[in-house]
Amino acid sequence: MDNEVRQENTPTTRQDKQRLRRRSFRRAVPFFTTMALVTVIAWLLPLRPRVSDAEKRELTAFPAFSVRTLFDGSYFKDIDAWFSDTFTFRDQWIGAAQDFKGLYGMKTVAIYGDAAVSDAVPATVPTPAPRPTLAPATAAPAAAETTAPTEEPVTEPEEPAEPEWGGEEIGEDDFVGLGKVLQIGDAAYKITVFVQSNADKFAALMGKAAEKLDGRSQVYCLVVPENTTAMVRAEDRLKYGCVLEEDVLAYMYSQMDPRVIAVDPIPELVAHNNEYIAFRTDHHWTAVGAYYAYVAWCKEAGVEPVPLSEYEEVEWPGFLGTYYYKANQNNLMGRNPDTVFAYVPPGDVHMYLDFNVSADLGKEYDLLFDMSKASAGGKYSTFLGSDRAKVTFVNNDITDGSACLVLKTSFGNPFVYYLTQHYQYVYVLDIRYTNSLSLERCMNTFEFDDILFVLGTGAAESRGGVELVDWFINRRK
Amino acid sequence: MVFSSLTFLYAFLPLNLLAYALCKSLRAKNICLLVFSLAFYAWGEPKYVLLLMGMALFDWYFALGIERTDKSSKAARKMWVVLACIVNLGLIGLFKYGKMFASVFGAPPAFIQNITLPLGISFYTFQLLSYVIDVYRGEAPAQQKYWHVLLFAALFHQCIAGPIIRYKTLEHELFVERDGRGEIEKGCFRFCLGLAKKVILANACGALADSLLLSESALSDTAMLSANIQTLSGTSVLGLWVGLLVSVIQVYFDFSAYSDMAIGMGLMMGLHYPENFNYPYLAKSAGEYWRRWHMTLGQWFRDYLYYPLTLGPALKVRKFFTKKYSRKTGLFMQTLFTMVVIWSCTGLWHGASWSFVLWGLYWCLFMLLEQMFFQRWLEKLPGVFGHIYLMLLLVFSRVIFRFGDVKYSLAVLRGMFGANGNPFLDFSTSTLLKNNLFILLFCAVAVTPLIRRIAEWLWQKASGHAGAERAMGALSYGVVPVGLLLLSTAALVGASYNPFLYYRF
Repeated sequence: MDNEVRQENTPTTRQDKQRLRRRSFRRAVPFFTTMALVTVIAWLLPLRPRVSDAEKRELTAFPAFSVRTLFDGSYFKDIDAWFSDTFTFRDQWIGAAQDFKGLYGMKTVAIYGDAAVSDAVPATVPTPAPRPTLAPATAAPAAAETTAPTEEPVTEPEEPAEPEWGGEEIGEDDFVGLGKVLQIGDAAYKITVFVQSNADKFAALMGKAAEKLDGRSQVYCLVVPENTTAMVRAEDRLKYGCVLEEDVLAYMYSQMDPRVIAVDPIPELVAHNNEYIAFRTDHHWTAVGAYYAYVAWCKEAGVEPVPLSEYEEVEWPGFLGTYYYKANQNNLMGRNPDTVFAYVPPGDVHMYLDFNVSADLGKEYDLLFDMSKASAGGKYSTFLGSDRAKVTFVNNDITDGSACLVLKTSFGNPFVYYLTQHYQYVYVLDIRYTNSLSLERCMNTFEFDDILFVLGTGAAESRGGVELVDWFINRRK
Repeated sequence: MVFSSLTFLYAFLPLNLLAYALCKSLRAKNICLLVFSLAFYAWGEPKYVLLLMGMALFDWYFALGIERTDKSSKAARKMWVVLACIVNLGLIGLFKYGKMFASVFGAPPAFIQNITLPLGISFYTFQLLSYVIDVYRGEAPAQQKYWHVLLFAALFHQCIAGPIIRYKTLEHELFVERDGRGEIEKGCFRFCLGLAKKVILANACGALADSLLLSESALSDTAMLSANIQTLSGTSVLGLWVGLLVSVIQVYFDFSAYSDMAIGMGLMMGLHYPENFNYPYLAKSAGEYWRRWHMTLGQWFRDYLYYPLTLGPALKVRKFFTKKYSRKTGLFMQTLFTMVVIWSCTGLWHGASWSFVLWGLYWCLFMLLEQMFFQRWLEKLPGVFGHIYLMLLLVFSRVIFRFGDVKYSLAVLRGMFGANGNPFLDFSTSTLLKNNLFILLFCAVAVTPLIRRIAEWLWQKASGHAGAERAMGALSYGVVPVGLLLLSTAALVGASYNPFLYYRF
């Protein structure tokens, strides 16, 4: 029989039985002692964690009692969830389990989650209609002194020279994982996907926005690629089942109304992928990555970018982002956390936060939030103090009343700081927190010359993201 | 509550063991066990604890009725058994199969739609039925005390996932004398072994199977039907085969782990439960497999369905066909009738849907084919062919068992032979395989008795050498169980993936 364990002969006398019982109990002491010790530790309630830094969430709370939950069984299930989720020394247990799971297979390979199903990217519709000549946005005062303004309006992006590759070089023995998250060494990336129906709808919505704002404001669209696109070679991405986002952006932009100025940040990002443009443990780009997207925007907007060296650098080390958790708190990443670098814009720039989207500025805060005491997973919140409904930047060095309205997801957080050098007012609305808002209401509330959509491909191509944009653009009040 | 939950390991079980150890008399120990058993059941299904208590009450009463009826009045005694069958099967029919049967006649009424499956109803119903029938057959005395019957049915070690224990097997140890031979350490060892089997091996296999074949929750989402079919159709040939094989292994580890833990806890308290598995994947035929798999269920069907059928309705079938055609036809029809009934019931026991009936009939077909043709050939061929044959049967049975919707099954069946245009091997599958290579190899070893044989060999070598014996004892009863307990705990902390497959039965 399975694991049959009987070995002793059947005892015959009472003394035999007592002797065997004593020996048996003696042998079981390590088990009972361990169980008792862990039980005591588990019930030291003050030691139980309430928040997981790595997972960026509050852990399950002890459930509130009610007769209904008692009888439907959910009360006890919730206690189980609380007991397990807040187990004493949780992170150490999880770390030990991860170390053990490392023995499950060959160390070069790991899988996290299921890869999503993707559509094939259609061949790009060639030659979009020529864009109108642009009236340049306000030139940056700081840049104006050092750089001669461009005389000719920018109509065609420069042909990028073959850049020196600075992204991932994947060797035979490197740790490579696949799933929703692709892990290469101590860095993780998303498996990029494409859903054509959502992409088409998003492109159409941008056209709708341009139509509504025709003659009033210029619409810019900046779709932020996943870090994968800038950091992993195309042949490797194809091998891992990624969709090439270069093709996705080319397709999506080719479908847009010519009145929309589409900003493709990929060439700039790839050209600088030897710099710290992407976090290794988080899905966001770094402020440096955002800067190169800003450079791409400047080219399209016909303005000179302010060199990054003119910004004051602030750093928050010890950042472990979303991919660290998605990769089951992988030790390769855990031992080598990211650093969040942030850049304070030059000039007399002020930042105001408002929980309501109104014409009021709201309360003034420091341009960057202090993250020295923040959790390992929370340091990206230095930008705008995390995702807020409305943030307003005012640059008192610019007095022409120029304004830009930015509709963004969290990718836009480090990006918007650079816009302060070109507009007196930068209104930043988070598309996920402004469901009471519409484009029409914005048009009535704010005066703005330009409107810029800054969304990750994940939002621009997901049903939820597109629905939010749809809601914003098509709502009538 | 499940055994492989932290609440059980570090709240319920320590309290239970402590309270049990403090009780001196057998009666006190049993009261302690009953209180904890009801609490255990209520933790998972508060409202259905009344159903469990009610069914135990009925069966206690029916058994007493049988015993108090004069043995000469067979009809009256039979009436009590029939009554017990009607009540027990009626209740399981309502709570487990109500929706399935009602849907034959259209949309089930709301009160049936709202019924959720009571935990372990298939297990404790069979135990209670066996009790009444054993009393009827004179194989066991009727229990005078209601709470004793309730304890027998509700005993938390085996109430919700077996082994299915007959009353006469447990009666002496439970109510008369608990054997104190001192097998506590073996109980601890067995419990930890079962826990690790479930938490480490079964869950690892389950996660891999879900990655390759989609998870149960994804498959049950009807809105995702076409997307799921697209995913399954695109899975590589090797991915589907490995996914199904791993799923086969998962089921074994999952279920046998629960039996191990039940047997282990029983040993800690001096209760000896029957073995439920005997390395089923070492079998070389469907017949042998079912003699090694979930043995207590097989024995139950043999004792309470097969024998009565063979001697009753099946005999009439045989006589009818013998008279009309030939003796050989009569014998064949008797076997066919019995097998179809038994395997339909076995399928239904495993799940309330017609696909489970199909699954039962699938096994029935191969058992019949074996009896008529294969067995002779299989015996003549080298053993490896028998193993391959059984593995193929198991893999294809998983296609029926795992995918409720026939569209999924067909997509997978086509994909297994590359008929979906799917590749033989893709990057995703090869990555997953490399990712789990060592644990899969270990699982392949762990379904055989190899590790146990090595342990026995080491014990044999150590025998007679005091130092070596002590070292083996420390290893077997200290390092291994403690190590497995701690590893399992680590795996459980914060883990969301921890389903118990046999919970649904």
